[in-house]
Amino acid sequence: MTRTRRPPSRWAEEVYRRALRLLPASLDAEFQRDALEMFRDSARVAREEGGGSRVARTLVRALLDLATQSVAARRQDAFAPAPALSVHKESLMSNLVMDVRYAVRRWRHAPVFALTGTLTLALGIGLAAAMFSVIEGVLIRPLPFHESDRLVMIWDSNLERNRPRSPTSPANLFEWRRAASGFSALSAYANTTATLASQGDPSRLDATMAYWNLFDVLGTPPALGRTFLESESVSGQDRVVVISHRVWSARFGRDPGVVGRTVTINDQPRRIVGVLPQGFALSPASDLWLPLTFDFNVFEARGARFISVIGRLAGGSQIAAAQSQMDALSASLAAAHPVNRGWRAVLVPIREQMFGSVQTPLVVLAVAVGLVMLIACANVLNLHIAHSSTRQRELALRRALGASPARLVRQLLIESTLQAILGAAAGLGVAFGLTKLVGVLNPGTLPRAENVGVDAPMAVFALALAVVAGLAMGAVAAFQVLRSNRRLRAGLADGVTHTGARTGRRLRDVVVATEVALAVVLLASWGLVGRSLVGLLTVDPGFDPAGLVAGTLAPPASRYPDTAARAAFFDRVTEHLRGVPGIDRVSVTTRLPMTGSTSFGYVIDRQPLPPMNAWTPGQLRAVDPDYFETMRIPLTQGRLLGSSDDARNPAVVVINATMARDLNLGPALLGTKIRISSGDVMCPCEIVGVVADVRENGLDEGFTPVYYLPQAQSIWTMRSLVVRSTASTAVVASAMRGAVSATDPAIPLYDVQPISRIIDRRLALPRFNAWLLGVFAALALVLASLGIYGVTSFVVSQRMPELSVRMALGSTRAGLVWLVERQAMLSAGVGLLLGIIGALAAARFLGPLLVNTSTVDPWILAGTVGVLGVLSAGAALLPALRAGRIDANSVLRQS
Amino acid sequence: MTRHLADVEAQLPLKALEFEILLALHEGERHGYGLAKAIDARTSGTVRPEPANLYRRIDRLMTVGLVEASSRRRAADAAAERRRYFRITAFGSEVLAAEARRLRSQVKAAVAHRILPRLGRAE
Repeated sequence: MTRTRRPPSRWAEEVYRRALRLLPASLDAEFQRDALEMFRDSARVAREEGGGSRVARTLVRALLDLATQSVAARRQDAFAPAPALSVHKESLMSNLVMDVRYAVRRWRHAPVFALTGTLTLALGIGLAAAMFSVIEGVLIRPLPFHESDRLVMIWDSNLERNRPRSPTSPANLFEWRRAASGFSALSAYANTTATLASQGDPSRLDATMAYWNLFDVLGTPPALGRTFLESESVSGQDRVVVISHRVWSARFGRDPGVVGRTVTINDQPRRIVGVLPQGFALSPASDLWLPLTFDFNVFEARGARFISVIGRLAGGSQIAAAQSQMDALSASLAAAHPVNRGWRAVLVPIREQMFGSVQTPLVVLAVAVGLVMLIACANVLNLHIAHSSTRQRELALRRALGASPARLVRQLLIESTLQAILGAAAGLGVAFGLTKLVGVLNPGTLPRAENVGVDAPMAVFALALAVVAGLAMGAVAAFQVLRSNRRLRAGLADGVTHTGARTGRRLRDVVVATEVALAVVLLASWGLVGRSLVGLLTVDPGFDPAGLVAGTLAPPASRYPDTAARAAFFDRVTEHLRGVPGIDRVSVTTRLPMTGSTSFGYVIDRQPLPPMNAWTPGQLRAVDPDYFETMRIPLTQGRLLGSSDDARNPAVVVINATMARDLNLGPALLGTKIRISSGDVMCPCEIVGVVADVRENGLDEGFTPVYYLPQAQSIWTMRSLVVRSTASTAVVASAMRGAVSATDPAIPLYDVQPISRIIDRRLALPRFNAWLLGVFAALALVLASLGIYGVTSFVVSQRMPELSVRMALGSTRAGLVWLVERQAMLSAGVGLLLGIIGALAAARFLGPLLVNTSTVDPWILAGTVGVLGVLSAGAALLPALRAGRIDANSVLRQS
Repeated sequence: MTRHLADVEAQLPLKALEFEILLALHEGERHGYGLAKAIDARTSGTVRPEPANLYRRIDRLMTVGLVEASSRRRAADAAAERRRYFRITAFGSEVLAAEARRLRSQVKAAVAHRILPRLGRAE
């Protein structure tokens, strides 16, 4: 017990103490303490009795004993549990419970680590789950049709006239039905709008004129009642209607007795015969389904293309075979009928028809989400690696005490998977918020958006993703542990040093570089999409949308049978409005810009006239004299239309600049007469003026020829009322409604909105893409910065002793900061380089999302690299400064 | 705590060292080194338990309930405060007695076969 006696036996005690660690886990810490205590007693007595040699003999005997017992205990451990199956299962289960408990206990000791990782995973999994919901709900979920993969749209295509997918004529429908054996059935429909008056105000609803067998071809039985009969496809027999589930719910309170009730549609009584099932929609969604009738000799009006044809492929028939059959049929029809020349039927699978336009953006967004998820996983993995380096001693001890490598790997896998599952649970909350956001941001062009939301498939997806991510992260962490297994034992002998740190650092550098690279790809992609959007926002539409409010109305033909009656109706409405204070200008037109096209051919009126299908296509607009001033479309040549341009005076036309350039008549332009292929126009008409171009087809489209006819010289039905005012939209809208209802209370004014919203709707999809990509890129930046910060902090704390030595050997503080910063920037730099390559590759897939924007933009790339470079340097700077503030003395004293 | 005869029988036979441990604890509570010394003395050095072996046996005896850790500490010795003292349980005593009876019957058999001289005679 005295100081002089103790030192000589201490070395023996130390050897024995270390040797004790080789014992299997079944011999616990208490056992070790007891054995050591006893050895100490023996050694002391041996020392007292016989000096150093006696102590050595005692030690050798004790070590031999230890080795024997260790082997015996291991053998006992291996054979002890009875290998009965039930017992084995139970122990596996209880081991699992033990592992889970152990993980939770460890988290309690490192709450920041646990929370950071879980929240990061929640973010990543939440994003991925929300995106999954969008893709699943919109693209993947089966269409509400029977065997929808056999349904195809059949469009009339004329590439010379720039009409790749045009509706066709009833004549073609009947010709195709007769001859096309590749289809088991063909049907047709045409979209329109209709005024429904039952209880309450009349309302304008989207409607579809459906050929009687449409629902049979689609394979959609009604939820209530029946669909159409063949006898109802005859004019006069068609006073029936099938309503959508939405109207049935909203207007009739889901009354099962609604079938058989009579409602008023477009001033005509019609009997409700059926209700469609929920979720049924051809695009766009329609609320009223009316029988499609042809009250003219369809074979004499082969040029009337207004019906969309849908067909079901016959059993065994492939789409390619059906297409070549239709090609042959189109050729023979073109040979027989001049009006069919240049037209060819093209088949488009219905899925592509409905989702073709959103598929690419959604896939791009899904890939972006995948990248964010990868970055999130990389961050959490980093945390795990950093954390497992600090717990190498713990793992080494467990290993030395007999825990098999498999046992340790399992522990790591369970920890990371458990964390990922917790992350997924929280992630469902994130996903819930995000799907709501998608609903808000929905550009209106996202079909079936109502399917997007938190549901069972999404939860399953999130869970599966969590398990995969958790196992993957656990596997990487475990791989690292196994690799440094051998060094672990050495690490144990060293006591406190962190020998596994070097491999860990290399892996962490790879992870950081990957994060930076992925963030570059996302940020650069957002840059391109954002630039494309900014480009669109700065496009001049050709008119001044500020202060313009428009509404749509349709005087029914039953009460306004001719041009004069309709013109009188509109005159009364505009007169009424002009008297309202605050309203500057009022005008009417057949069609507002960016709301579709009415295309007819035109030709200079000189003999001999070329055949009609050789005429140049142009957009027809019939407007009143105030239209140009209301829209503020500037006149560049000649005069505008006037109130004297009516049926009593010679026919005139104002054309746009593109058409003037196409005609290329020089000074002889004004006064030239043109003919238009619509029979409803007074022709020939004289060109009296030229106005500036307007983006009729959308901001992302080029200019096409447009000719404006005076309202009073055409029989085209005006539909749109446009008002310029400085008052608020609500005030203007109520004035407009008031004017219409004062003129005829049975006519609803609908789609009342600022014209800027019509433009906005065209921008909605690019805006949606830019917003989401922006959010993803921002997340990627935050996560990557956090990753760099975390790794650098960890490296600094690991290198403290080394840095102290450097400091002691004369390194300056700035030198230490630079040392740390340089290492961080090296891996970030590799990431930047990889990111540039990735961004260039990714840009090629962004093509369909970009308008007038090159996929290779050096400025955006340079900006991205700059932003990420600064962020990386900044994220590494905080820990680097900490390295600079190091107190070398205290660190060295500690170690 | 009453135990069935079968419980006692199930513990038999004891390993030689286990028998010695129980025997030594039957005299009174001891810690590890004290136990080793007692055993060494009783067997005249023929059984000299080393720490790992001794504690592994004690562990087993504790697991099956023949020995328990004593709550008593000898405060006089500062270092002893960390030491665990052990004592034999009632069940341990029963097993010890049963083992002794078993050994006696074996010795009797050896005597009957004239392998050993009768008890009381010199060897």
